[in-house]
Amino acid sequence: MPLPQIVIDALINIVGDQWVKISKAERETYSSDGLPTLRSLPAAVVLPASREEVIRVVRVLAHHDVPFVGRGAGTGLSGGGLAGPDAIIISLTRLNCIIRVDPVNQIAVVEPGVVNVRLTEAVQDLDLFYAPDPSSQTACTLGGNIAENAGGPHCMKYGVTSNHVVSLEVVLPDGKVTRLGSDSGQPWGLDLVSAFVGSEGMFGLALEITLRLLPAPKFVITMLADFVSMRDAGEVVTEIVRSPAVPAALEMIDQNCVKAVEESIYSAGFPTDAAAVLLVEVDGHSEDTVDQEAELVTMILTEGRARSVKVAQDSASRERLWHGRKKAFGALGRISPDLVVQDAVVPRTSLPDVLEEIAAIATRHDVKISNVFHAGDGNLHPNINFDGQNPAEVKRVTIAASEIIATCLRVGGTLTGEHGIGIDKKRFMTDLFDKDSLSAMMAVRRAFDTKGIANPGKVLPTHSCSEWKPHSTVATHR
Amino acid sequence: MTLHPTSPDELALILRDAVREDKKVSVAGTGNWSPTEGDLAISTDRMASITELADRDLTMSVEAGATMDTLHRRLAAVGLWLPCDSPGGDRSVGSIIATGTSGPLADSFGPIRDQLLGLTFVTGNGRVITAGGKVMKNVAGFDMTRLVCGSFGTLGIITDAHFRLRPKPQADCTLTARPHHDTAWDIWRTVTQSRTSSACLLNPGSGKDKAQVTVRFTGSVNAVQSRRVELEEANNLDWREEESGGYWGDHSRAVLANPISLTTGSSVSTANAVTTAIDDLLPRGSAWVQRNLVRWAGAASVKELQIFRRTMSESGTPVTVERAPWGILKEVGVFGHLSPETRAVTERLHDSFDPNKILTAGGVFVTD
Repeated sequence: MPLPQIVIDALINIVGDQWVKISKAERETYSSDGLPTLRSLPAAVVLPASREEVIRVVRVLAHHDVPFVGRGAGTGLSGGGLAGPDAIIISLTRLNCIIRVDPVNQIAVVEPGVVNVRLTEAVQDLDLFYAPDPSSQTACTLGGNIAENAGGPHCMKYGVTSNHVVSLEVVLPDGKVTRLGSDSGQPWGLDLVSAFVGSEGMFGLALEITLRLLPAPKFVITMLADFVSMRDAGEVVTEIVRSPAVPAALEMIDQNCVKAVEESIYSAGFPTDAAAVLLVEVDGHSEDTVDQEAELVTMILTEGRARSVKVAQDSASRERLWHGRKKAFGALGRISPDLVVQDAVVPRTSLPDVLEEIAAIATRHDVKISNVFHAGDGNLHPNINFDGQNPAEVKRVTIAASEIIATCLRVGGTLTGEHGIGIDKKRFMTDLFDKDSLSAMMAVRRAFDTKGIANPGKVLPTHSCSEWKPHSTVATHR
Repeated sequence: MTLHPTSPDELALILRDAVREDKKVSVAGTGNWSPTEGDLAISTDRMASITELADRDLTMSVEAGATMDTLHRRLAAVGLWLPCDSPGGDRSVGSIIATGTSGPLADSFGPIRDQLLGLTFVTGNGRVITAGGKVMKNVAGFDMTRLVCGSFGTLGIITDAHFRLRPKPQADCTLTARPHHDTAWDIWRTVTQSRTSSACLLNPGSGKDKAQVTVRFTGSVNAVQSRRVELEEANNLDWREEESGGYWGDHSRAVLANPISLTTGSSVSTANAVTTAIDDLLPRGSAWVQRNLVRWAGAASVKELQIFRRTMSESGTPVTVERAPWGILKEVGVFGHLSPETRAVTERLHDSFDPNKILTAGGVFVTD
């Protein structure tokens, strides 16, 4: 259904002609996100410049019942930032101000379009940092991080996005503006901040985000351990986490991924003959304590049959290791036309078995799978390289991805740890949740979005939900 | 009449019957942590098992009727730890989650909601809902776990909880000092901002009383020792070492010895003003200052509580009356004033999860 001209005119009136994109070529830019297998051309794209403009845009769309999709940098990996042909994308990248930094209370107030890494850069002179650090942190926005409840390697020690959001000012899909939570981080009534974080843009748009900052650790030691057996690497993860050491990060990279990194401009010195490498970081405020933690971790790695354990000797070496880790997706992306990045979480002790099963799935379906992931949290990222122009290969990739998910669920895992459900995994939600639980999620969604116009069609397989009408008569069964 | 279901499905049947028969339901507990008026009371005492302790995965699943003390004892036996020191260790897990009660360890480990991986609960319309899971990270669907935590039973009755655990710290050291009021505040600010302690609690005292500041360090023997030395060298005070278990148990009992307890949001820069307002408006009690909240316990009239909440509201600070005799709670409400938009969202949630309003006979969303 074409967008009514009256809506386009109203949007142009708010943001100006150049910030409403209606030509096909301009809309193409927004037709996909970080997930290459899905494309959808939005009806239009609007780029407001301020909080006030966002509110006015949402009010116009709500008035005309036009669905909309909030979007940050478009780095999402589950198709959550795609809009259907009847929906408008509201790009929030122009709202990129760090409004206020409060070093006394260790909080920052930001607009949703601020790029993740810019916040830590802005506060590092105050010896503070913002902990959640997704691999896309040089591009992804904090508003997008809120929508997806983003994680990252250092979330193992410091927690995911929802552990760092103090309060939010949001515009609800009906255009009403409200503040959720309080400046102290204490809920004001029900904990609506926690509900909003990770709602994948289906509860409204964050206008102002108050985030917790942490004192930057004074001492950091990063270690690289390599293993000739993937199973050994998987098993040692549990030993480290079960020990008194509290690593800031514990990442695993398998041989396929190591090779891709080492053959790219992101080469980090990972040994290409290893079955897997572990990147372990300990940090803290006392040099002695950090040294002792590193010694303990080294001992566990060695006892766990690590072939070697190398310690980054300076910040440049450390940065090189992390660059290799965080750009691994980029390195994988260059070896085939398309790459699908999977995301699932399993109990840590299942890692060795699940990794072997993933390897078997790769062989069975003749697909190339590389693993680079947050081992300390049991958060897997199996990446599948393929050629999207080859229908037979696409079919094999789709089947392999489904089998990986089924394997993870079978051991008590979940569908996604940090990338979200979006469109990509919606079909699997019924494997994890029963009808009543999905209906409850639908009810939460409707409490925030009475019209169902914010990012419709994501997360919930609506055919599996029964809508809970207020004051409905409940059937009784005896 | 008190009913004692043994499973979520049994509880769901009871709640569906209650809807049909238009009966109000309360959760039977101890100590005024939830509204007590109702035609039926539900006790979770027959759902009190630890259903799974995955000691190598550092997770635990428990039924909601188990007490927090039971959990702590079981975990200590296998060298594990749940950093949750909510007042009332003899309370059920369900009660602590439903009221979102956090203790001083929330300073560094986060509130109880941060220890939760998932929940099962039964809504007021008798549906058994699974939220979250048992793994460390989980963004599959909306976060109903954290939404239900601290909802004071308005969305449903919790039957099962899944927690993340940590290895039991090698060392656990609690130090107290009773310096001059201003010094105590300085120490509290410095320690709180440095994030080097697991908990830092300030009791500012009143009148001629000296303030008391208590710092708890947990971790490896060496880490705790180095932080302790750092604290003692930075402050030329007579620090006294307490036995951690005993000290924090006494603190919890001191809170619960009073008929009312409430929390207000606060921060490093506002905590002093909050305690001043407490001194002025709630004189019959004691306050304890944590990183992000001030907990007050004492005695007060409905009028005093309403005035205090209104004063705090005006400065953008929420006041949660977490525990009070029913006669007081039903007048002041747990949460008090909400903005119209937040209230509308909250009411829609409440309408969906408990459409016939059987779960609470008021007392949560009352506003003054």
